[in-house]
Amino acid sequence: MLEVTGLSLRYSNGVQALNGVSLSVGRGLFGLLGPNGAGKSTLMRTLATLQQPDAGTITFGGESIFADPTAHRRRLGYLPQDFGVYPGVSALDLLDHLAVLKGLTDRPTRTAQVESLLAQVNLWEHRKRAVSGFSGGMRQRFGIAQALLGDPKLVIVDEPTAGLDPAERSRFYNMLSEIGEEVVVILSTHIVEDVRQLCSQMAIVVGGRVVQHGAPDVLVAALDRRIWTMTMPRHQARMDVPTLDVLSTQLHAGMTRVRVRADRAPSAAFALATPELDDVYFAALSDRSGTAAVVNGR
Amino acid sequence: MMMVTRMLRFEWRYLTRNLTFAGVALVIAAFALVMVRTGYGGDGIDINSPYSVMQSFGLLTLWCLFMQTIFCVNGVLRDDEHNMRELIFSRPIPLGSWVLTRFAGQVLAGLSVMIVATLALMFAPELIAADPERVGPLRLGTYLWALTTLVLPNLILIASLLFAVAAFSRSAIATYVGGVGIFALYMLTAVLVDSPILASSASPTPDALARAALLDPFGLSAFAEQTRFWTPAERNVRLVALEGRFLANRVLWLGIAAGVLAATYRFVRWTSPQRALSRHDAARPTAQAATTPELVPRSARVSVESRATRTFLPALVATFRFEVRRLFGARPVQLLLLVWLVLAFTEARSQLIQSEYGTRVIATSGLLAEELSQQLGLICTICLVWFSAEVVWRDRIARIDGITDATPASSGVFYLSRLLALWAIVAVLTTLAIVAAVVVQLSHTHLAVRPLPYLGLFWFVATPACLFAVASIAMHLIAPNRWVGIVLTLLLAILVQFDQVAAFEHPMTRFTATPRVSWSDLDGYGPSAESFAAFTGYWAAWAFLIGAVSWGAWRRGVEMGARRRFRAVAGGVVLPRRVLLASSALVAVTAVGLLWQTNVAHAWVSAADNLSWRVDYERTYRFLHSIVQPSVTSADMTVDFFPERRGAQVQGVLTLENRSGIAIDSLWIALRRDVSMPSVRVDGATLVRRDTRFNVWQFALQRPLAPQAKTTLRYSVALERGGIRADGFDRDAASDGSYLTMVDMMPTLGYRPAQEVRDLKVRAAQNLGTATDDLMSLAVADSMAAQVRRVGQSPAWLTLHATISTSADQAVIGPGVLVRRWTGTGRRYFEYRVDAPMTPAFAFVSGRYASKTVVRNGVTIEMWYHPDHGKNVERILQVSSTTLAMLGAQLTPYRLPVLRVVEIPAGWGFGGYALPGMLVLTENRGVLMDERAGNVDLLTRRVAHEVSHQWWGHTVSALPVPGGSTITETLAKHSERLVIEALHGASAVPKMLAFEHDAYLAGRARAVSLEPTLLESRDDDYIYYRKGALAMHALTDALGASAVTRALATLVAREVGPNGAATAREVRDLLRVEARTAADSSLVDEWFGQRVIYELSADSASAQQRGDSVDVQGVFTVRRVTTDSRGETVTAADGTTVEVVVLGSARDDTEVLWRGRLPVVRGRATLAATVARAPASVEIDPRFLRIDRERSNNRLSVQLVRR
Repeated sequence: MLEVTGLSLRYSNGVQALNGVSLSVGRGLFGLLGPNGAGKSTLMRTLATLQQPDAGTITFGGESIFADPTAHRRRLGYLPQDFGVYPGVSALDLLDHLAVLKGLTDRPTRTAQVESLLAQVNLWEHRKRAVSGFSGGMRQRFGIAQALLGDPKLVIVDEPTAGLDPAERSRFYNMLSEIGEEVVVILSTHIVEDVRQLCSQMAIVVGGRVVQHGAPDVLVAALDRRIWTMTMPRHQARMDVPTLDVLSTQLHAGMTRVRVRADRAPSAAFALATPELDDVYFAALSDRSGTAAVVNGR
Repeated sequence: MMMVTRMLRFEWRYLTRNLTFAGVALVIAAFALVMVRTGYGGDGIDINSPYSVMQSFGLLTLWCLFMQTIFCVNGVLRDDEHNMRELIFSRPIPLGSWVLTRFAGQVLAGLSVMIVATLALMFAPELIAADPERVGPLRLGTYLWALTTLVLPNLILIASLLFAVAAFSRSAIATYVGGVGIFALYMLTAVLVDSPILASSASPTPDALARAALLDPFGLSAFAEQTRFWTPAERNVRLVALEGRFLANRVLWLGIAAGVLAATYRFVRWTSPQRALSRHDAARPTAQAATTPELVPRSARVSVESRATRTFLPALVATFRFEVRRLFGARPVQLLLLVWLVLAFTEARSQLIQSEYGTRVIATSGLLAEELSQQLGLICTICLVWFSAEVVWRDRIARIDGITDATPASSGVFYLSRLLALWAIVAVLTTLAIVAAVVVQLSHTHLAVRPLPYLGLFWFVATPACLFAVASIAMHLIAPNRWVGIVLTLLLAILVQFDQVAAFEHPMTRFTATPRVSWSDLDGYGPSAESFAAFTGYWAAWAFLIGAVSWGAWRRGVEMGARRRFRAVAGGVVLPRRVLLASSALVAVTAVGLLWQTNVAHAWVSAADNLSWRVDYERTYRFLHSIVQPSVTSADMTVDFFPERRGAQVQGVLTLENRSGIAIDSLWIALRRDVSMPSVRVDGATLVRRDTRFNVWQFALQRPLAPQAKTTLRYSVALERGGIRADGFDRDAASDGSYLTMVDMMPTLGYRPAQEVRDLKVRAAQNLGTATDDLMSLAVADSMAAQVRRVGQSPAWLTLHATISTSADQAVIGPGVLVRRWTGTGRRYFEYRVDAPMTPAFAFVSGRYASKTVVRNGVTIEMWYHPDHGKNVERILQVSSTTLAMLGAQLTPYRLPVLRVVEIPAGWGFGGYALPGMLVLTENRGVLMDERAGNVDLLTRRVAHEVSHQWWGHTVSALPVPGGSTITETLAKHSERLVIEALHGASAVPKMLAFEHDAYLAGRARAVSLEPTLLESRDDDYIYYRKGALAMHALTDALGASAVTRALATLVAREVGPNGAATAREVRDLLRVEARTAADSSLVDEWFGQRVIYELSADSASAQQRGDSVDVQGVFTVRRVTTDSRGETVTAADGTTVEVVVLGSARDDTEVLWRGRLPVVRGRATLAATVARAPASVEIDPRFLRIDRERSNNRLSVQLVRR
């Protein structure tokens, strides 16, 4: 459905945000994983036609999205990473306003959809309150509602679960999954968990490049029998580990648990571990940046 | 302390290290330069004098309002706009320090801009190559003084008010509105206290001045009050003193600023999150009644309309409504509209109550609409400057742009909905102005409300504002941020006013500049309405192009710099190229059409071309001044008015008579430069040369014209005042109320000194020497008088026969006897005849008039007026007949059987004008004066004044030497006062003289060269009107009314008719004859031949009860100030007497307990009087018998001491 080819974009301050990104995205949920500053939001904004790439093409359903941005936006639902609202406008009024902009000009249809969406995201009770006074979770739900206006064929959600409590997040995932049955949903996140739970396809973006691309299961399978783990005291970890291809180190009850990528056990103390999507992500980061382990202080 | 300093430094850097600050500083510095360039400060005052500097800063202060609003929103609201509030307030900073640094940062930023402006002012003389004569020594102290006493307190006041608004509201739009509100309140205060800074023709009373000086928040009135009578020499060196009302004003307003700051600090909930200021303010409890809607099944989901054309209009309408709700739902905007309503109401009301000389005007719809149009234009512009920033940047500031930009809505929907919202603001402001005006009209008059002048505000004021709105949005699309956008918009708004800069002189070069249009009940929107429409069409074409480009360049998404967006427009990415091509073509076509109309069909003349025309005329033809030419002794005119096309056709047969003693062999005939198709022939003469540039014809007579011989000049000329043009609008040929004078339609012989440049500096720069009129000196008076007595005045008195036609619905009023009138070929004809020679001044008026006639003492008095303006007709007829009867009895009977009073349209530069047997009164400054109330009955004064010119000017003509205006105007002022006294009593006179007194002092303060005496005045109206009125009043008091009347009757008897040669010297001599004492005689000399004012003051006063009566004592200072070429000399005014009164009431000046004249000894007059009851006050010179430099210290209240 969505084909991205050789996409490059350099900001006027010299930052090369995208560097030859190519992706192929089909129906269903697509996870875009990457660390902060990897270029995810830039890619999302470009997919939403909010900025023009310096090079490369994007087609959706075979048509270039920049040839007729308006046509593309008609099929698009977009939830930016960080958005504000007009102060003092009620959820109902604001959603109605955005629905008009979306092209829902027939009043009864529009009203029906606006009300339905508000109910769907559990904001019906609060529809007459100003969105500017909403809590983070409510505001995010409002953001989802507006992204779903006009039944988009391509839904782009940029870091949508930031600031949501576990219950909200779970409900949100369910909603996205449901939508993803029919349309293309691209979800950007730096939380591996999100992708694992939701996405049938994913890509890992680091430094403006796609470093991994495929189904999560396939990517995980590629690390089968290559992940080794060991728990050791902290001082020992500092001394021994640097020579190894450490994917992650985790502090746990005063000990350090290290996960290492290697074709065979680095030493007898290491045990073979079942690869996880985290390992895929860290491996990708490691390959890309050459830096070692990420310390997760859990 | 360290931390506060650091924070302050950060604040200052934050506000000043950016493009916005640079832009603001640049604009204000440029404005400062322009002020100096346009010679701000007045003639004879150095452009860098303390006075000019203070005045420049005063004006710049108003700009500070814009600047501080920007700094304030940037300083106070940035935490909210950038989500920084929690971060800031979680730091361990004392709240007081934070508030203080934020506030001080803004003041510092503002002060920095003003320092840049100061540098611009300081070095302006070098930068703009100023006239070296007007550059004084550079004194740093002057600037520092103005900065500390005027600018800094004003900055602090403005900043504190805006800071409070921003802190309480946390809303940018509220802060913008706060800025506009402060300006509106400033205007409101100015109007309410009748501030001297408003260009009202009324001189405010000392009470009003004192009130204004204290209450004007920016101290400008206090400055004006302190300096109003300073002479140019004083203005060049004196610093305004930080004392008296100026000091009180500064202290008062700094105190208010401190109070506002303290309240802000105390009551603002600094740490709580932002609130919204609209109807959705609070989180309202949700209605339980509404049931949760059913989830729409997925399969039945909606689909987005895919055809853009179908969605555009509904989306636009819905978005516009949303925008309007946002804008008008905001409390600050509602407040602003309320403030405007109050301001408009006050403005309309006060203008009508405090018109010229503090008198009232009858509130017609036209006058009210006219009064409000300027303020309306101003408030629209200011609102557009701020609201365009608000609507263009709102999505970005609210950070919802990521969502809205990604919607399929056309950029046109965003663009147009915002533009329409701005237009809605303009429409609402205009409607409110009309509402205010209608309320004023209904409450002040019983005249019918005429819709047309009110609706005209939509066309003449709101439409240009709407076009400006288009450009203001474009400015924000060019600018990288809203502050730069505001600065650019402001620049564009100022550019409209830049007609003094040569490059922008033609109105086609200044966006939304149009010819000025003003309403007249007679002539409607007048000659410029058509041109206004054409210019508006031209600007609308531009607006269309700008709008199309703006549509295309509307910001969508991120990282889209202006250049890239505009390139996309040019590439036809957003809008089809043909739209741009079509709108460009529209601009080109209208531009070419308008250029042709304003430069070819009706050639526009630039100031430089106009100057060189005058200079070249003088250089070419000045020699004619000494060449003898024949006189026009009779005229036979045929005039056809064509009101429907604002045209007139004039044919004349003039009898030329050689009244000189020598034969004349060539004739030089000149016509006005703005006439069409002129043709001139002279019997028995051949055309030698025709100069089309100056409209001069030279004829050679086949046989020289011998003394007393006559010949005939035949000419025809057309006047075309309609059509589309950029200048040269004239109401002489109008649609209703044409006022065609001899000057417009008749040729003159010889030289035309009136076409010379009068400005002395320009004359010097052009090496032109002394102007012809200034060559006349009193030295030639005797020889000239002898010649006039022999051959008559020049130009000569003449007889007239005229046949005038006009359209079938109009009447023509002319001079003399109406011989007959008839109708034929759809037109009306009138034949007038004047058989006895009259002064060469006549006019024909054509209009749709109502008329009323009375016969008094054998004279028919006719009044011709607009049918709606009948209210004062009776009064005008009564005053006319009273004046005719009074002057006829005192001087000589009125010479003619008829006097016609005719109303002419507003827009002429006078209130009334007298012609032989006829006087014209303009609508607004004449006929519509409200004589019911006010201090001065201006209607009676105007009518009496103009009627008295039937004697002063048209019976007795002055010799054209210095002092001539004293005959025509000073004596008319005298007659005017006599009529007021006869109709209203002597108590009405001081109120009338108070204005003359202040106007004289103000005129004297403005005078560049040594003030002339009444014997020498030329075109100095402060002498012949103002000082003249005071002089004749004082002399009448001293010599007695009958003595003065006797002297004037003698003057008339001696100088009546075409061979009269009256001079001011003669008036003085005749008055001197009437003087009974040496003191009276020297008083006559003092008023006519010297420049004397007094310093009078009441120094002490006391009263003691003695039995049934009260002893009053008082001491008064009486000093005489004599001015001559060496300067002022102050001496004790010994040997004179002054009038002193003891008043019984503080409220009623007519309750006089004692009145008497006290001798002056060693500069003092001492009062010792016994009165019947307790006095309230004593006053020196209550009847304006002297000119007093400062009248506010003349009255002293008296406390009664009981023994």
